[in-house]
Amino acid sequence: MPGSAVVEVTGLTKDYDSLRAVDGLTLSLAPGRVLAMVGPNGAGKTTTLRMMAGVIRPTSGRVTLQGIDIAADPVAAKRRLAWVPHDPQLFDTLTVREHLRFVASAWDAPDGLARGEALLQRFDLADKAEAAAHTLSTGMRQKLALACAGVHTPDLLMLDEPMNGLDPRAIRTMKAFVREEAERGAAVVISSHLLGVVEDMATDLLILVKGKCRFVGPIEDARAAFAGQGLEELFFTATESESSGAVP
Amino acid sequence: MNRWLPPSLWLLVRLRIGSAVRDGAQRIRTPGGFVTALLMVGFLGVWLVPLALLPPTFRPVNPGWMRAVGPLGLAMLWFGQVALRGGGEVLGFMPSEADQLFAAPYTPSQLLRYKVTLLVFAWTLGGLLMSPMAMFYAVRPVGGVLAAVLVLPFLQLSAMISALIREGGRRSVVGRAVFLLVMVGLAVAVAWMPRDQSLNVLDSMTALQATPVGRVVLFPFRLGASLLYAGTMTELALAAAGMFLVDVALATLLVALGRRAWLEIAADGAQHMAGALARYRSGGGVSALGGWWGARVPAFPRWGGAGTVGWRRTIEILRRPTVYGALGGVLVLDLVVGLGATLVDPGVSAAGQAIVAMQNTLVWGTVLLPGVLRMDFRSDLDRMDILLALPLRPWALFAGQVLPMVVVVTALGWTVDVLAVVWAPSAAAWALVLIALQPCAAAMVLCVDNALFLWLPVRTEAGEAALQSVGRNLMITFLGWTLIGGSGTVAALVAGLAVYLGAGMLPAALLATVPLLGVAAVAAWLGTVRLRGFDPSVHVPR
Repeated sequence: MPGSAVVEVTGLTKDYDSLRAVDGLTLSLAPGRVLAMVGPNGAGKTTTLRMMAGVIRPTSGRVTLQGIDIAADPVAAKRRLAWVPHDPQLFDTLTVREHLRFVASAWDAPDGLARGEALLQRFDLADKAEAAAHTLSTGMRQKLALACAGVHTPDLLMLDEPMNGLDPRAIRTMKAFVREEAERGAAVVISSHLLGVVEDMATDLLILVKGKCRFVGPIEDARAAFAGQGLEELFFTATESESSGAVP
Repeated sequence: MNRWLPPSLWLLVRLRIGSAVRDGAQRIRTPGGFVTALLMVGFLGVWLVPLALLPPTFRPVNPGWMRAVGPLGLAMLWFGQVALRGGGEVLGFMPSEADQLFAAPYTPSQLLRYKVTLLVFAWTLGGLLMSPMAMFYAVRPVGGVLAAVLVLPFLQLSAMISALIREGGRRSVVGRAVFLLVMVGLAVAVAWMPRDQSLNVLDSMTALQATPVGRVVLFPFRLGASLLYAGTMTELALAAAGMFLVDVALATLLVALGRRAWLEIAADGAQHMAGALARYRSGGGVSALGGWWGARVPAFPRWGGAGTVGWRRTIEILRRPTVYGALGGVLVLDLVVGLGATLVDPGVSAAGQAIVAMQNTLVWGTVLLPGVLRMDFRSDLDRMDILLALPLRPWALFAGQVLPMVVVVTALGWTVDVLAVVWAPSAAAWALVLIALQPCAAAMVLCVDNALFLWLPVRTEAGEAALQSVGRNLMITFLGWTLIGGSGTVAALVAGLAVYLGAGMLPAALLATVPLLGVAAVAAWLGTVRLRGFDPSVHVPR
């Protein structure tokens, strides 16, 4: 349903010299949908997310967020999205709370700080609110990055390996956070190698192999296409058959 | 040999030196490595060629001056090493060594001997590289080589011993008290040395060294300095032998102290170093090497996002103690250089001293300080993804990242200007000129530096990989200085022309701000253009 899609990606391609990192990717994601982006190392997942976040420009193709072309009006498009990169680099000397204030101000979200504080509570990070970012462990940094992503109620939430460094309790909280964001009406894109974890949350699946889309669509369709396999078996079936084309 | 180190550690020493040589040889074959080598040869040549071609009378050697100033200068350098450098990092164990060796079956003493063995090679190489400079100022060139090779280990070993005592002392009240007593004792000894008020500065320094306390306290420093001013080969040989024995004694003391539980100190140091190197590698410059303190900074108005980014950047600046250290250092240095103008020319007036200090700040404080502190885009190399994902126009991002440091550099310059006028009110007219030029010069320097960095980003390496980026860094630095120097020259020509045509100093200075601001605007525009097309996966060096 293109008309109601939060994000639409059309023919997205990225070339680095002779390497085609992403090759003609097309997808759309409606509000409330959670897309699991999976693929082996070097499949082009992070490059795709970077293009969707407006961090890098595609060689060709288009990304629109609620009808706004991110290349034509990047500021308006970026206001509607939140992106948590893989291994997020925080600002060393800013405290946890100051990160929230910064994000609330950058996205011009007046009630963002309150939302962020609530997320800190949720991620068991409230007692670290005055701690500098460089004193946080990897998991705490990841939690802070997730809290920052929720500050401005984005329409599109993109998470690159969000489980990195999280303990089991935090992973459960993160999954609940993703579900609630989807229930609120946000579209969510998660790139991860932890197939079992994303399977719990995903409504849609994108399988990328060497920049090419092997499958994109509702996860039930993928299961039907692969005779009811779980996501792990489905992943191996789709990524190991080099000669096969895109799965219908 | 095996009594000093077990065979496996000798093997490691050989492998590490061999791999360093192999890496160096491979690097020279690359274009960047070739240029680096060429620059280093050129740098050494600047010192060596005059040494070989010119007669000794052309060299700035003054044995009398060196005899008076050398030992005290070396003592100050030593005190700086011992008192200011602290922490287990001084022991020099790299994070990789802590990870690989500390859990291996070696005694702490063996590990410390391994480190000293490796450092002896590094110090010798470093000393040889520095020796052309020392040779230039030595009565006998060979004395310069010996001074560079023997004094460097003396300073480093002293700092390492001090770190062991101090860090060990942190874990015991007695150790801390001993360290404090030694430092206070040294200060009292220097303060109570008899002085003759009728003597000039140089003669006072010589008299100080002739006192009984001076003879004892300054003995090793006199040995080191005498390598430069020794008149005969016998004097030189005696001084070199003495300095060598001092080095051996210090190395023995270090290993003896190392028998106590120092491993934890070195491990802490290696951990701190790992963090600091990671921050330095991210582009943080020297400001990233220090610690952190929690200064409060009220949020700025949003100003299209520039205020938000600027607020974040200001916090980063104000929470780095190294920034204050660098600013204080530049401030003191500029004032000392200004006041010291009378040493070069005794006829310089107070106004002349003030003008020297102000001009020095404008040129060196403005050009060099931002490059040393790197508190702008250069320290956010690994955060470009996050910055580019912000919903901000490129101009807002560029302004927010660059303007806080413009303000800091301007504040430093204006502080020197005000102090200079307090020292010499007759320099007020010059101060007004420099007050007008300072923010424009700072904006020009920072905009050029940042635009250049965005177009040609380079990672500042540290530790074992440092040499890999030296060539590219040097080339970009020279390019930056050329652009900044060219802009400054145009501004100076405009001002000079205005004065020649009859304008006053202040109007001429105001005219000179036009080219400075013009270059800043063009550089800022180029920076924003680059931000639109910046691809972290391609443009951020790994």
